[in-house]
Amino acid sequence: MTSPIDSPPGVEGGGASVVVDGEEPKKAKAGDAELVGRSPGQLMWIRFKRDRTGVISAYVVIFFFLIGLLAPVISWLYGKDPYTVYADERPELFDSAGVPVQPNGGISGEFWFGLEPGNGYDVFTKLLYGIRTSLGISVAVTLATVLTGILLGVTAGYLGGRTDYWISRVIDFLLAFPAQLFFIASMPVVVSLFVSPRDETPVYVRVVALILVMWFLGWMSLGRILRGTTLALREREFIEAAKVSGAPPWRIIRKEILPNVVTPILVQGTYMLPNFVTAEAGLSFLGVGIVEPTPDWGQMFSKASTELVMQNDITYMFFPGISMIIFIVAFNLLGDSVRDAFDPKTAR
Amino acid sequence: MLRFLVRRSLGAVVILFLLSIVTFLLFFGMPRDPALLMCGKTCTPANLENLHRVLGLDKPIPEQYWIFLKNLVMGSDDFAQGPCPAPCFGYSYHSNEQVWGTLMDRLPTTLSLTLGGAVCFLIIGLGTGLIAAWKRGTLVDKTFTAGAMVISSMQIYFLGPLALAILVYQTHVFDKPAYNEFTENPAAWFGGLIIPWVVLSTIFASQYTRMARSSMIEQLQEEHVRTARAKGMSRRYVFFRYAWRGSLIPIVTIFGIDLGSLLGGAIITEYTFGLPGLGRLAVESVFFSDLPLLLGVMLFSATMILLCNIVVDAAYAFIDPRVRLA
Amino acid sequence: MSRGGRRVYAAVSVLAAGALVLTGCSEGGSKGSTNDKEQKENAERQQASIKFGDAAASKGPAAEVPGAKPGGTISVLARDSYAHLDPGQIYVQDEMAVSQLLHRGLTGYKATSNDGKKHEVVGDLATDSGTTTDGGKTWKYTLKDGIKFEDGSPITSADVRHTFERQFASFINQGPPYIQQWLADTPGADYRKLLPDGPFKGKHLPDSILQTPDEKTIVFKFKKPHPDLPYALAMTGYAIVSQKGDTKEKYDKDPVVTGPYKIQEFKSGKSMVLVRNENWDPDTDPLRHQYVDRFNITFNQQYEDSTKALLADSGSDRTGVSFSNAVDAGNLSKVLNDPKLKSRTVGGYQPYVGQMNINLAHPEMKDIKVRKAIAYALPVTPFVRAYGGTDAMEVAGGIISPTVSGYDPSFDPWGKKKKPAGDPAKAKKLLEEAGKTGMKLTFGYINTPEGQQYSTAMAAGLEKAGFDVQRQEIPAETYYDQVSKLDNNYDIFHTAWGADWPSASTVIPPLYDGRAIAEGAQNYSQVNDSKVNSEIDRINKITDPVKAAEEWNKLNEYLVKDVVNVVPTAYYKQTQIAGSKIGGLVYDDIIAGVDPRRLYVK
Repeated sequence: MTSPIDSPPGVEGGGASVVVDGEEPKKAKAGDAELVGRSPGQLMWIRFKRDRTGVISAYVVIFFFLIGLLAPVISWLYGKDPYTVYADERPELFDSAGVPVQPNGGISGEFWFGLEPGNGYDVFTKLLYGIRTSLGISVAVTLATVLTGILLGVTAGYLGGRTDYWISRVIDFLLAFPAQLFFIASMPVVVSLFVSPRDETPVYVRVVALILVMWFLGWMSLGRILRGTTLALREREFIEAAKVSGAPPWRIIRKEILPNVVTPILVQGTYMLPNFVTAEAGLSFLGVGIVEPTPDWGQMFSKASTELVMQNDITYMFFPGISMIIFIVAFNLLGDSVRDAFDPKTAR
Repeated sequence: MLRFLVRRSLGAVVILFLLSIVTFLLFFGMPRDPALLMCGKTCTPANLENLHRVLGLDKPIPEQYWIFLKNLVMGSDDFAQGPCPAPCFGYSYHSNEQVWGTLMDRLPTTLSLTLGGAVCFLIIGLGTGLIAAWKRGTLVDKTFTAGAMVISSMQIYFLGPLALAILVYQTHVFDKPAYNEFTENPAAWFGGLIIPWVVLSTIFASQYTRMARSSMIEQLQEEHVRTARAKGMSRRYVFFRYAWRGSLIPIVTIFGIDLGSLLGGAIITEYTFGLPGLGRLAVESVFFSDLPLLLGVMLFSATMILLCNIVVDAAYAFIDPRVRLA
Repeated sequence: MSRGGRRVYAAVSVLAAGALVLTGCSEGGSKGSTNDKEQKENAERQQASIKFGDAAASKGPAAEVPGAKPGGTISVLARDSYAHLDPGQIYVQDEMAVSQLLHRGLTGYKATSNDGKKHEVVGDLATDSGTTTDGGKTWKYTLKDGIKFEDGSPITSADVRHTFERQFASFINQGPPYIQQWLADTPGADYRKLLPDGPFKGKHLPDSILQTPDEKTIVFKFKKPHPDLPYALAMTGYAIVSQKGDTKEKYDKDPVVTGPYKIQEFKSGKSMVLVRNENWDPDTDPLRHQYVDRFNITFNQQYEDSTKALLADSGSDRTGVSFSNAVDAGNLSKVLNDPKLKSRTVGGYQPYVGQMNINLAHPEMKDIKVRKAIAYALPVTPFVRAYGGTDAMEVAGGIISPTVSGYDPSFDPWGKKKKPAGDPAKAKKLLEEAGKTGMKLTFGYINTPEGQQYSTAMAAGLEKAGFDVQRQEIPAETYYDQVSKLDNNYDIFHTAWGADWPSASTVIPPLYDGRAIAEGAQNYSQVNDSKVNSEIDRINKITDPVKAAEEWNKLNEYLVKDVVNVVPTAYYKQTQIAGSKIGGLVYDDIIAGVDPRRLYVK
């Protein structure tokens, strides 16, 4: 991790040196007084490095992202891929309903995590690629929601008035949506919006559709927080000063406001990402997200909830289950550490 | 108070109105033709056209929407299947049953699941949270918080099948979850819902443990609480009379949101355990492109969410006299 | 909160994960229930053909079931409530099964063995299975004496005329269309123009089509020969409806029955009670018995529920049975591997045959070598696996099911029984010869969990032979509408077809007659082969059902081996279970389920 805030050159540290969190400026100011000459980013980084749980969690999270990124390499070294139908390649390993004959889901030196009941995919590579798919989608949704949240939240907060009123009403309206129900209802619609090409199984269409629907109902909470933060910032002296000095609004937002909302964005971002991972998995679990044979975390859960697995091969469900628990716990701990690092005085 | 309720209710009606428009548009974007599903084995283009006419799908969309609104408020006798008193969502394309009746049929399942689960997770969650706060810093506290952290990272779609696999399929300790009418057989009602309750409340309780604990600790640091303690009141008295009340506010907020969304259909829970509640109905309505049913479920769910939000905001005033309803 | 606390988090997470892993150990799959004996029995059934019985065979009463005694109540567990009870609206298996107790038609299937495998078509309300003198154009039926509706009124030829005329009314829209089409001599739904309002507005079919010269006689007059009429009349859809008691739409909930049981109470969606029909005379009925006093039917019992209840075998479930519910996939291997439980089960074929259609409307599919390559390469195992293994699906050789007259178990042109996972080597060679290695093959699959599972594995198998398979999902609810469009995108897609009666005449003509290619029709592969067409016409005229069955089988072999427009995948099977006090439990191949007529309480 690198320092998330680059000190804006020229503007004497801008607002960034003083205000970290719009809601609690006093505390942050007090903390700053002792450590002159360091940007809040550097401070945060120093504090974060001292937090061992946070560092370990960060390593775990990085490990998961690395697995996702390197899935093809690992599979190549391991010599298998998640698409080979071992139930037909190696029929002696399965009964006629596709349950591995060996105990514990067919775990062996050859198949480290065993074989998936049904078509007999290799669970190890399937999990690697599943993590890759799920994390990829979730990162994309997080980025999209953060951008939207910044755009609408900061705009509403800075401009105020009518714009603020309408954006806030839209946020209220979208927050009242039955989100899951909306996801399920809109997935087929969004998928059909793309002209489905005749020759291709459109995996990317499903991915894009998932990103779109989750983004659509995902940005409001961040938007609302940023609106509040910006609203508070707008009244502060350094913004007033910038306005008086004739800086155009765009420059004020970019140079003065954005550096000050990095904290809530980072903290919220680390909370949002695991939520998107579980939401995406939930959709695939319900059968409206990613479907076989594309490996996906949630799709593995949907397989794990079939009678075939629950009755015959309970081992299988632990691979997606435990890996997800570890990932979510690590990410939540990381989120706590990030918040601590930014705002050490918060009681927890 | 009254002004607050009126204002919020009006806001809710506006939101529901907008939501119905969005749902309507969403439906007409769906790639499936509901008439085709109904037409059956010997379907001719003429039959299909006739069905479109019967369903009213041949009319322009704004007119269809107007008819929908009119029926919803005034009821209608125009349906071939029979009369439809207000609130009339019409008749389901798929089952030919009245949508309102279907909703009311499925409601007891969702109600039982949600309320039973809510009682469990509130008691467990608040209990463990308070204990953890009371014993702050001890091993008990650490175990509780750590356990809650791990459990809250589990998902129903993992814990649910796991519980089913172990308790139902492998050891045969319990029956497969099912919904039985309470009035007909209370024991069967209880037995059929016990696994869903346990799974639901395990996951939710862990979140309430964490919330109750941190909220309580925050309260204990408040000025008035510390003053009370400094005046010589016992720790127990301060804990339960002063801090407890203040710590409820954030919990009530979250509880209201949770309850609303659960009452509107605990989709994944009902899907995992095969319970025929509103959540399952929602999934079915999408799969069968059943517009009246989809509209019914969507608006019903949103109403539940909005209603709970209003109740929560109103409840603030009772818990915290500082809060004024504007 | 102190930092130590969060270290505990991590420690506890590891512990919890460890504990979970310990519970995660599981045994392997069933070691494969060896069904060698059953396989052999199935092989022995070959070519069990069905005859049309004469007046002697049509005489009641039915032969006693060995060991049967009267009395008692049977509780029946059913999944779906009966949406239709009007015979004219009945076309689904569960309603047909209960109709065996309620409705009678002019003809019916008499089991000639006690295992439900051998049958004969005999007269039910009629004195014989029908007589024709001109090769199947004119059929004459005479009603038996002493046949009555449940209200005691006699069944006359006027009721029979009414039964067939009301089939043309628009509210009868769920039942089979065969006889209406034959009478009107038109394909599709055009037959309704013959008598648009049915008999309800005073119009009737002329004597040149349907003649009822006296109270007892009915004569059907078709423009073309239809030697299958005795089969068709045995369908529940053509069971007799009372002219006096016809309440049109309301008849669907409260019909006037003719069988040994009548409906005492029917709570739609909840329960149904059947009691003895005192106006049913066993001496007129060669098919049915009236051993049990009462059937208590409960609905909304899923397969798992009924299996569990019947396995538990306590209380009223000891005399419990389900007409149509199968043992659920999860319990199947357990039930079949336990000899004590297995003795309470019966199993058999359903009438469906799965087949992979090759869309001949696409130019790339016109190359026979490509089609043969598909036939060799296609793995059938994914399909068998997806539906629960060999207990639920049997690898198919041809398109004629074991329940259909003329089935030949040794026919297996693509070696699917030896190599169910496909023969990619042979396929690859053929594809190379055709110069089409790497060609695109669009595979339309039904978007259900099973469809997703088998289509991906099938695609993987085809890719080994050198095809570039492109899977396209089709929503389950409109699957058959999509694939029966003439201009569809799919090169291959899977369908299943069940014979309406045990003759290939309800399989081959609708599926493979090139002249029947039409939007929404069932010639899914759009095959139009002149030899097939002319053979269909020829065999359709054969009045001897046994001879016809042999000829149909030859045509089946020609289609599968030489035309290669479809690749047969599997015959559907099922296993059903009953309580320990149930006697006379037999799986009837024609009903495709437990035969309710033979049940008694031990």
